[in-house]
Amino acid sequence: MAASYNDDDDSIYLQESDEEPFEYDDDDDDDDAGESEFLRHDSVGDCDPGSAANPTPSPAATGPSKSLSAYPANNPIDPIDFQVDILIKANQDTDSSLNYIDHTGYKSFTLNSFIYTVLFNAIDDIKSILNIPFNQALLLLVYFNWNTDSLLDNYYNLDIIKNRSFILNLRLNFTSLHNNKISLLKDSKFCSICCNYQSKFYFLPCNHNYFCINCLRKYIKNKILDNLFIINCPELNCPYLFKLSDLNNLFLISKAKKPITLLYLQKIAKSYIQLKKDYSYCPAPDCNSVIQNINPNLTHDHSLFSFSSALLSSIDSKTIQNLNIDLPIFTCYNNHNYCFNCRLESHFPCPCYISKLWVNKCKDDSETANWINVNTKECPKCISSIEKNGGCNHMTCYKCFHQFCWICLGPWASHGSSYYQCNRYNEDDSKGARDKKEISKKLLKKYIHFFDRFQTHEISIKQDFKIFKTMEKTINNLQIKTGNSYIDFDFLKDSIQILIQARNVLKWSYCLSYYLTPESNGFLIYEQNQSVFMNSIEDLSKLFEIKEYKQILKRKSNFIENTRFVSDRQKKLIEVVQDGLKTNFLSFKDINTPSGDSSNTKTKTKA
Amino acid sequence: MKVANNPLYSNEVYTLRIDITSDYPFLPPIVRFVDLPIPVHPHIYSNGHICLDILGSAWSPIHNIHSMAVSIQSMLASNTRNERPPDNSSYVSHAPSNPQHALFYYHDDTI
Ligand SMILES: [Zn+2]
Ligand SMILES: [Zn+2]
Ligand SMILES: [Zn+2]
Ligand SMILES: [Zn+2]
Ligand SMILES: [Zn+2]
Ligand SMILES: [Zn+2]
Repeated sequence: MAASYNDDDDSIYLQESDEEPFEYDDDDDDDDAGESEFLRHDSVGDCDPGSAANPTPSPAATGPSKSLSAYPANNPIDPIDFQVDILIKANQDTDSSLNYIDHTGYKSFTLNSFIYTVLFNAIDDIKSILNIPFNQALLLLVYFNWNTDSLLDNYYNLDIIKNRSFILNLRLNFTSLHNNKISLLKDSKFCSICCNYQSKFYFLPCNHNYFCINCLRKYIKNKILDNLFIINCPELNCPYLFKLSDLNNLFLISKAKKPITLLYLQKIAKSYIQLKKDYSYCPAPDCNSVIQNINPNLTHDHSLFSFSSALLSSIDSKTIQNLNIDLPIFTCYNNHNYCFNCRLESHFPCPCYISKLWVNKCKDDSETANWINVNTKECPKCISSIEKNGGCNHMTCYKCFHQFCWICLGPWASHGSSYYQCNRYNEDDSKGARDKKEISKKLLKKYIHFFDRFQTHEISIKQDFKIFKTMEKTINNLQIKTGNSYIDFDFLKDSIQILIQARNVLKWSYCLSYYLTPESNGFLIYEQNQSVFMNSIEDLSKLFEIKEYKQILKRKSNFIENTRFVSDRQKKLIEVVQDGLKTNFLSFKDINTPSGDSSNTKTKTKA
Repeated sequence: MKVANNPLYSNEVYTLRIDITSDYPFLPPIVRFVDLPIPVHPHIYSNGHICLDILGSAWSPIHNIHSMAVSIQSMLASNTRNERPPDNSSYVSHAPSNPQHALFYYHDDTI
């Protein structure tokens, strides 16, 4: 035995004596792959051995928002808890994002701050009620799906066979099986998993010492990635369960970028969030923010997947609050806005269930709609191929200077006067439909018409978003070139944020257009408002194509005016929808009202 | 595969297709019956998919192809019911081609 785990030592790391660090190939560590472009680049859990080895309490993390010292460290320490404590401290030292933001009606956490507050508090409650170690409480909670009531009902009352065997085995694990510690074993022998002769094994307390370290690590990691948190020794029917502290020991000298304990806790946290109605995590890719809803009147539906290309605009929550409509659009810790109710991005002016229908339809029909070429089209006059690289849909051909509309390819000039031609899908065309085939063809045509617009604006948002992201830089450059102050260019930031948000509203309005009954009284008014709104957006978007810095300052009043106009039109459109739906001036056809879709089956395994 | 000592399967030879993924042995191999006949069993669908816990959640890397095949063989040998799973027709019409993508409710194991 070359290395041993030492309880009395400050360090949670193996005493490394003469060991060369052994290798752990971590190339399949896809979990901390590419960061989302929206991420604030939190250093999530780069556990630094240096700071971890220091057991003295570090000053609590400080940040712009509330910092937390939530995990009580004053309990009598048992060896396993001791490690967890240090784990937390280690992470507090390195992770400055252990904060949450208090909004009215909800809280936004980082995933780690969620773990150290909500999750650990739940574990601590069970720990003190049952007077059991932290790791035991954790496994119990995992087993009972974080349902404290059913856990407490079952812990002493061992009537249900399935639960009884688990609980008894767990108790066994924390008594006799727990006495020995996992340690490194140098011994050349046959590994029962990879079937090779290996030189490094772990001494497991259950005496199943024929799994080489790499195999054991891969085994555990696979389980965790598979969201299986109750991990037995690989030997068949062996009762030994790996604890959080074991994971720490097993992976100590691995080269994994993210400590496996943190991955384990993060995965557990996500499963907790999925089980609890008042929590949800941000659907933005790789965001990992958690929202706790404090308003009891809101519920949400975890069964809905987020729209694959959902772009959650990272815009000030201030601007969102101006939209006075009853969608629970919450802002996550990393400033993504999403609907707590359905976990889609903000989808004003569509009600949740319409948005849900649309997203599912888009998924189903994605192949049919794929032929729509989204990034290049031909100039309707000279047939030059034109690639779009800004968000604006008012195009000017670089060859013949023909001005046209990217969406309908009609001349731009007509968009000013007979404005709603571009948005409008001509239902009259489908009146002549005779047989079912015709109707379905017409329906497809109608869908593609609106989907095309939906998608075009989604792409425009992405491009506008690039402008938004480089805005600070742009303003700095402008300051240098013009000698004006930063404040003088503040209007640009407001404008681009309003533009992106408005485009998102416009985008979703096409989803609404698809489902609304064209015959309803308010439909024409709705379409007219949509068109005026669209034109206001394209006018504002056009201004962002100005690159000449003197021009930008000169056009400042245009920026401000157009931005205000966009805001006004957006407000108006949402009002029209709200009022229309209330008074039945707008209505949906062929849609069964909100339904609790319970079609998602969950895997059940036998005991 | 042949099954001895069970009149249900006495004269038949069954073929298993075993796909081994790059994560083997940490993840189970993809196993299904191919070619006709597909043995009739309350845990075997008519498309050859097998509902057996060790091919899914109960897999351990300590298992190997041989022990897995023995498990399937003994599952057949001990069967007394000449029937398909109760949800056979609905499962087969919607089943993914990789049985591991199906969400099995592991049927009662007492059979
Ligand atoms: Zn091995
Ligand atoms: Zn064991
Ligand atoms: Zn987020
Ligand atoms: Zn919603
Ligand atoms: Zn042209
Ligand atoms: Zn147009």
